[in-house]
Amino acid sequence: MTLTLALARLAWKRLWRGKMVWISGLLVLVPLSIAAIAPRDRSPERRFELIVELTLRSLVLLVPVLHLAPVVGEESERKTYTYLWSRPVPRPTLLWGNLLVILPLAAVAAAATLAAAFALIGGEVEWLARAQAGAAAGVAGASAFALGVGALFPRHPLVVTLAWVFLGEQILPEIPSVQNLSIVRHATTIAGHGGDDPAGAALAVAILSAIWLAVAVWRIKRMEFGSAEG
Amino acid sequence: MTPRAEIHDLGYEPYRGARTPPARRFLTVARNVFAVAWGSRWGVKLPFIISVSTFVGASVVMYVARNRLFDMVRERGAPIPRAEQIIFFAFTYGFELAAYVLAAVVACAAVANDLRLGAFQFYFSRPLRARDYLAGKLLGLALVIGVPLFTGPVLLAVVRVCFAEDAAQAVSLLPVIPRAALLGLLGTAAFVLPPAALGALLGRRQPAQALFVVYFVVLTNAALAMAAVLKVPELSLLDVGHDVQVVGRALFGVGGGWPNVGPWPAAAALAVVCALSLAALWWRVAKAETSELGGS
Amino acid sequence: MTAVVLEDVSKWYGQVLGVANVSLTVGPGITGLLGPNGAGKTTLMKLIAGLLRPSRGRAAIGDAAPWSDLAARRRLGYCPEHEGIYEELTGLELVTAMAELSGMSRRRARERAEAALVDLGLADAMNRRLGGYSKGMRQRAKLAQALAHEPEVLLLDEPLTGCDPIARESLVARIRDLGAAGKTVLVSSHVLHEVEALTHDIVVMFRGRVLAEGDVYRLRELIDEHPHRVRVECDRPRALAEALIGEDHVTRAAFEDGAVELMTRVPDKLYDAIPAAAAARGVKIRALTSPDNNLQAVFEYLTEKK
Repeated sequence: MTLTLALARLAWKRLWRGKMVWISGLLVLVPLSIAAIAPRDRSPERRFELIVELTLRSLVLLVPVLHLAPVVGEESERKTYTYLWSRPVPRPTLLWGNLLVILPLAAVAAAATLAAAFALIGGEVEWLARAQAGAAAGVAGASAFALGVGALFPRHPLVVTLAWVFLGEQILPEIPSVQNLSIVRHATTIAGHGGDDPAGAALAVAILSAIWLAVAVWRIKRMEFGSAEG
Repeated sequence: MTPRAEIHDLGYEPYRGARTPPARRFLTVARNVFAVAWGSRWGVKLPFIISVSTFVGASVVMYVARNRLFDMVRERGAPIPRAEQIIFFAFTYGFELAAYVLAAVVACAAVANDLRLGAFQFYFSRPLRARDYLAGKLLGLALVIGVPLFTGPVLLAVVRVCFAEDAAQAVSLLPVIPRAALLGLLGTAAFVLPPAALGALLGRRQPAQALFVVYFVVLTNAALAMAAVLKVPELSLLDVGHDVQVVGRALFGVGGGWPNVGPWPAAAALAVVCALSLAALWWRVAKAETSELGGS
Repeated sequence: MTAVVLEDVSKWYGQVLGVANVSLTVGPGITGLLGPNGAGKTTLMKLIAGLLRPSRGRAAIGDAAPWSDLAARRRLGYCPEHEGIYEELTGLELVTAMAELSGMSRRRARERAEAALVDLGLADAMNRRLGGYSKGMRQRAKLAQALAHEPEVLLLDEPLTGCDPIARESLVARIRDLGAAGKTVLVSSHVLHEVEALTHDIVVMFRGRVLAEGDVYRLRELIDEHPHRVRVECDRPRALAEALIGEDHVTRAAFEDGAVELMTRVPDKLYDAIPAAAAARGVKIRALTSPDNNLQAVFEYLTEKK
């Protein structure tokens, strides 16, 4: 745990001094802007549903992907892995340390965005609670997915994960035989905007997350960096 | 007293062979961009596969769409595109997808990697001007991204002309080729300049890729949504991809595509974004030319 | 005392050979790892650091394999040769974090990090971000992160790169202290005089293989068939050369201003013959040196032969 915390501290400092955090800030503004201008002729429930869907598809999916997908690739690209993995640090600790920073931060950002949108739109508190639960589940699933795919494709982690988010996550929910692979679909169900089995959706997110994390751990443990040099 | 000076002959022989003229040195940079991009494996080969598939698929659809049966159905008001309009749809749903991947993989990294790796020292310690570097980079990127976005529609336009039933129809279809070329040029500019500028401004490939994707997918969709909700179609001009499509619709006579502010405002918005991107690139490269030489 | 042991270690990167059949034991003290670029020095270091898994054979620190055993890496400090570093962090943050990751408590890690940075001359810069460090400062910060947790085994890959002469001198002294303190220090370099300033125990690598290992002077002696130069500074070089050229092991004499350079196949015989010849001819000898009794000569000979 000490090692995980040490790596989390490292990730925290790098996060706030890097540029990605500003891009994530932009993503927070999108649902809020739409909430502010959503047409008043629609019911608050419909307007909030629109914001929830937008939040799940942008902020919830993208913030973990932007921050977690490059974790392994960036260590490789900058060769900083040499400092970490020549020490008595189990390699998956790198994943846990970053997860410990990004997951709560993204979940809080999504929850706060939804709360702010809810304050603008109004409605029943239960909508907000469910939406926040859906967002939290979505952040967890997206984080695990980002780490897994990032470890599988360390050279172009962002391009691959973002392509999946914008293509795979659009197509998967429409195909009955594979729609259970979609994180957005389950998060939407938990948020109360589709499907009728939030508990099943939560279980599905947990299983998907476990699979992606297992992939990330498997990959990072076997990963060898470096080329024929010196 | 006159200071003494002496040059010792240490056997150094300056290079006396042919040198590339300064005006053509940007071609070396362009070649390098193309070679590096081609070496990036799936980042380039996947878009290439998408482009070839789009070309083959669109050619087949164009061949079928020439059938008189479709003309008859079309005359009764069915929304079936004409064969040459397939070029626009292939551009929007196939070639642009390939260009999007290329822009993220290659264009975002083109200047950003040079900044990160300190490659400007190598460029500007030679008789290479900032404008040669920039011209070479942009030409190289245009060659890479122009494969799907320019060559794709132009070749489809040629195929369409070849599918003409007679010489008269072929002649009447010839204007499709320059229209496809114009659409290809605009698309190439839209997918080369903004991502390269993002890379130059952020100085790192991955934040540039992230911002490019967030802009092209999230922010532009938000702009379109706002345009619809606020009933201010001009907001859609913030979406560069949409601007290219609006011009493309006008060029190929394809309707729809709301919010559609018309081709001229869209072309103007595109020109402004490209000019701003170019200015940002120039500023960053000129700064690097003067400040990033020498060791530390 | 911890030794680094490599037993028949090979590493391939796909079709490319990194190192081949390396068997080596590096004990306490300083050992220089020499070789031209691409010889396999960094690959060997990475294998010892646990960053690479041997394709064949066994690498160990003490009894533990660094690739799979955290206990092995607990004893290790590694200073890589590349310039990659966490540019967003300050020097102090980097070294503290790395010491913490090596198993120190946070408080102790910070204390040790400060001490290491001060020791390496970064007292004033330790709270500045690494992104703003010069090349020499980065090099010292990299060394500090390798030293702060007081490891038993130190792998220093080109540690003096980018350092100015003053920093270089202080780093050489620091590394020598570590060797004298009984730590196992493996220093790689392709700059021979750097290694020569640190140690006479060398391992020479070339094209992924170990060409030679041991004391540089002993190695020189082993290269018997290689002609050996002896330079004699004296008042009458030609007279001395006349007396010695008749010896069957002397193959050549070359004259300089006030000196003669003799080439021999049997250096010991020549060293015996010179005083006798000088005495017989009344030649006054000022200095006697051997240009070949240094690392450069050994290295050139070994690598040229391949």
